[in-house]
Amino acid sequence: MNNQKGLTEDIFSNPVFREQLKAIVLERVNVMPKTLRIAVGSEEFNKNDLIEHIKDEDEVGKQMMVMELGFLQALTSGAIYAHE
Amino acid sequence: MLVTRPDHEIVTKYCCIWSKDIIKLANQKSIAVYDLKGKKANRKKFESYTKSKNPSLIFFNGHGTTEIIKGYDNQPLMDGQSIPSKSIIYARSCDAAQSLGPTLIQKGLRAFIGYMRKFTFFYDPAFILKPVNDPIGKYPIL
Repeated sequence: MNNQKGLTEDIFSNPVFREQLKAIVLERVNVMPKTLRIAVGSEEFNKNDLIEHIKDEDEVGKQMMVMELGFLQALTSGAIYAHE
Repeated sequence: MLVTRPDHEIVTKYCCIWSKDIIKLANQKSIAVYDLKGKKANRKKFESYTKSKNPSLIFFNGHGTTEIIKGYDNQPLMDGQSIPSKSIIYARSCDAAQSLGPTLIQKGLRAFIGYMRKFTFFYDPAFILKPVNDPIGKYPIL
């Protein structure tokens, strides 16, 4: 947990890594069906909203980036497929 | 087990519907379930049930902040002033693990499982009247 948090902080504090992560997240969201919505807390967003939030790197955009990072880490560690 | 599951708008409706499987599983295991669904997810009923039934597990579904967990119509259900029992809490609520969780632990709560960030999930608006059929809505991503 602490290692993950540290890694996330390292990536966000490095402008090059942060931009790379942002590009990955934007690509992921770009291929999302237009009809899907995402609920973040009490707010709801469509695909275009989400892209703007990610570009702005506001709270919602950062959360999307953190989630993508968590997903990539789980993918590389094998945690995602561990139950299969 | 005490479950709170308000259903006053889309987010709570999804959490409410997708809690059914957990209730079903608890019933199969002969675990007593006190289900505060919809308007019953209010502070008066919640406090009454926690005092009279002393549940070992409290499973919250509903909006939250760093300081409170909400019920029907976003009315507060639990805050740092609440006197917790020796329960375990699992809160499917935003941010509550940041401050509320540690506060309750200091006051004697057995365990608090929650989220440090906003609870997030995708859904397909075509299924908002029947969330249980939404193939993507059942996967929380945080």
